[in-house]
Amino acid sequence: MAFNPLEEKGIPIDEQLRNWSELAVTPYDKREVDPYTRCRIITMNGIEVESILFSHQFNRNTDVIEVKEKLAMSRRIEQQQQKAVNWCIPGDETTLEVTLGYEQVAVDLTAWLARSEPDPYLKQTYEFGLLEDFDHLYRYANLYQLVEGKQAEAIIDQLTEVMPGRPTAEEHRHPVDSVRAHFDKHTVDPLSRLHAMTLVAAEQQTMNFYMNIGNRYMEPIARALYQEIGMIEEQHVTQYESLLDPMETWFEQLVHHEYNECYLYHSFLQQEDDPKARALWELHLGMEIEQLRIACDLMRRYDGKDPEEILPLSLPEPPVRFEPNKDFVRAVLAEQLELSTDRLHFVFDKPDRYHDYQQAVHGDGRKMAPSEVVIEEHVARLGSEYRIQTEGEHPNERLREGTHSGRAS
Amino acid sequence: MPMTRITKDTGATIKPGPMVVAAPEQIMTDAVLDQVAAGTGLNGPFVADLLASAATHENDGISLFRALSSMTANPVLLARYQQFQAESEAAVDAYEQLIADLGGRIGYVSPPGRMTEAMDAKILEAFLGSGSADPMTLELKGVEAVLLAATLCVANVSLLSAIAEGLDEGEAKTALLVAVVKLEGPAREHLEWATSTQRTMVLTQANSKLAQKVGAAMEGVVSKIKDALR
Repeated sequence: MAFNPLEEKGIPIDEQLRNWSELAVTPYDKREVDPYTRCRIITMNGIEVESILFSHQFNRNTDVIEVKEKLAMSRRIEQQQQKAVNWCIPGDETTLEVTLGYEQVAVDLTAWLARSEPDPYLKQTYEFGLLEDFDHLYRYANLYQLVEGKQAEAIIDQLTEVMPGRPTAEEHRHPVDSVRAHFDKHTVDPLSRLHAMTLVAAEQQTMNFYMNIGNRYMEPIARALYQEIGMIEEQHVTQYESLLDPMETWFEQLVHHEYNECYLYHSFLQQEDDPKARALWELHLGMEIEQLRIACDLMRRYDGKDPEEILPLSLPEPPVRFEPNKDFVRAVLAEQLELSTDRLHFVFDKPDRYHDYQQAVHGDGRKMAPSEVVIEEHVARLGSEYRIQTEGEHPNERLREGTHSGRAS
Repeated sequence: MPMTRITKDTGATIKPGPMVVAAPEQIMTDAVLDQVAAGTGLNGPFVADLLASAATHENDGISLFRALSSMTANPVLLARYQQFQAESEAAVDAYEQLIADLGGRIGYVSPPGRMTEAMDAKILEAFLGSGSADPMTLELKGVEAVLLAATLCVANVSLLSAIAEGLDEGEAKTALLVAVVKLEGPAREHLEWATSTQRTMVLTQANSKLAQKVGAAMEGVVSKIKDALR
């Protein structure tokens, strides 16, 4: 049934503050949790972090007391929401296990968004990024077994396959080749805007996570791999944030942030089986509806725009779902592995600066890249790579095990 | 009723530029825009862009007057802003009628239209920096925002008039002249009002500290009452 958050009654803002005991959420059991519940938690953490960072930026760009105070109030609540969501992750889940969850999000969220994206350019952008995050999952899965002696399947189950994507070592591109064209705020499909905002938040959180926890390991290969993949995540943030229309006003952006939070909490509420997580999504949806109302009031007052002028008549369909995307990923792997970028465009012929940049980054050769070394070490110590290939051999001959073993060419 | 909701579901289209993409069904091409004012000798795509931009500016005027109405504490200014908002809606209607009469598409977001919208948005965004302004200053800046916006309205109507002047008699010329008749009066009135009101407000305060203090105090009181009632 159509759900229009503008017509729903949310939780009054003054009733949204939680005390310490309410914030002391019980973490999930990492052995029992549905991997996609973990994915939803990681996603919503990234979404809340983005809403907080955006609100801080907005705060630095106005000195209107009413605006600053309303932003401050909503932002404090968003902070609590972020804590409640992110503290669902248990302390006994190691950093690498959380990382595997992040990459499962990157694969299955990006794949879902690409599958349901109506704009061909945005869809292509998501497919392009998908193959890179898919490779990161494979590299981290091999690192996980090397460092912790465990198999990634215990974390991600067999919901997502683990095998090489576009080899990470080949993903390093000149900065200008990560910039993309953007949608226009008037003609864009509402779903496309929400997709782009969601991926910006998810990739930004991943970038920040790796930036900060990548140095927490003693093992040189772990430190190095986080460094390398952290660099690619920056490329991804540049790519996805480029898709957003810079002409949207501060208030329009505020409204769209709140609207996207409604969309995602509403989406996950429909899919969630875990009762604790479900209760959290329901509570936060009620909060976001009110935060959206406040944002709309501010836009009405200071931008002179009614929310109905920029928002759809109801939450767009389909809602975001976490589910296996194996066939889709395989199809993209088969067709787009060699795809690259030349400024705004997707191309198969790499520009000269790609090779220059690769030379600058890899120096003595791609085989020295941490993402390559981790596979070499895995094979050397354990006799083979770690893969999960539930649907058969790799769709791209070049990346089948035992040949090039997923190595960069 | 003019179309103020320009979105995909109302049929918005755009001519993609190097940095802007759109889904195929939202794309407008020069081949289609060539049909605008066809047979008149005018450059159809350019005229379509110009009219879309002018309509956008009037649409932004609606938002401007709504925002100023919500921000002002002065009942005289409020009445003016409400009047001008209604006239901006009529102006959007006039431009949409003109676009239709010339064979164009309503809801076309032209590249110049996007930039016009950005310029207009920046006028309003200036009020995000009004935290240090006293009530009189805030009201003055509201009037100056009208002055800036109305200047472009008048210039746009003048361009329509000039384009019509160069055309042979026919439907296109008639449509342009009809639009000028509808648009010119209100646009000039807005500009003249803003110019004279700015002058009055500035000279009153420049020539008398007492008047400035009394004015500020009165605006402050009215503002507090208005906030209390909000």
